[in-house]
Amino acid sequence: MKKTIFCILFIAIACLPAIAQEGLNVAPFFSDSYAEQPSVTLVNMSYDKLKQGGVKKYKSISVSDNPVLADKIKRAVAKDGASAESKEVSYREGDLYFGFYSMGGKKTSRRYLLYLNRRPKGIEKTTLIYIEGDLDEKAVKSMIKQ
Amino acid sequence: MDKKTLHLLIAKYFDADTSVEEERLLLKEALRLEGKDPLADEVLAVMGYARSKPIKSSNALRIYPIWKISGIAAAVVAIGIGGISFMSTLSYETGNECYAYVNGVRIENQTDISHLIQQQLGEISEADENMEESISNDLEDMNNALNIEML
Repeated sequence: MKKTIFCILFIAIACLPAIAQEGLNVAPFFSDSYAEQPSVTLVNMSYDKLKQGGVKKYKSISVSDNPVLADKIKRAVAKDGASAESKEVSYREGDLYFGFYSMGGKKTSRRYLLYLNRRPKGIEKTTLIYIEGDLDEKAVKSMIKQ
Repeated sequence: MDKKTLHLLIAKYFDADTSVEEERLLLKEALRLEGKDPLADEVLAVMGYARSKPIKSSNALRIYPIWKISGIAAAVVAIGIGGISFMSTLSYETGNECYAYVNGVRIENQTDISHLIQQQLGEISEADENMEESISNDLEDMNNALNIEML
């Protein structure tokens, strides 16, 4: 009985990284189900080994002229942002304008969300980026500024 | 055998860790205490030697503590969630991937995808700089206000 319990717990713990990867509310927006929508730009890059700069995964969705989808993304970002380890956010005209969220993770699985809503600037465009890899906040910011 | 040792042996029995000799000893000792010790009655019931008596639910929990039952239930749920998540991960992420969709058109040219990424990061960078500038301006305003106060 003890051995059975131990085996079950070991398998459960081994599966935890898989659970953590997909645990974000924004995860569905990076799936190919949005790929064929007009005015949507979807980018998906993932690697078995770390690429230069430490990036293991880069996913993004950019939505233009689709306020319904943009609002869905914004709500998902707000939910995930609430559980972020650290964040830098900016609001304009009562709307979430920019967000940089560190979602935690260890070693090669550190996760970040970058959000930009250009509606307050009069442009109906929302961009959401997910980055995962072996890089700290400073490295992600350097990557942005390159 | 004292009660404490007997209870330890009973726990070992329910963990399926007892040898044949230990089980024989357990049976002998449990029969000796039948009717005097609820745990002995419990193990006799499981072994099939008890007289027909109703088993109290509190006795059952003493043998399988709540934490063990909770642990098993949590592990089963975690495996279920992990298994489903792992399988869904496999279905669209296998090894290296690099593609993009623009207005429904699939792009696999790495150069074009790099340009897209640079454009996106450029927009984010602009917003980040705007935010830093805004913070900087606010701090300067506060600093000026403080200096006036001090004067």
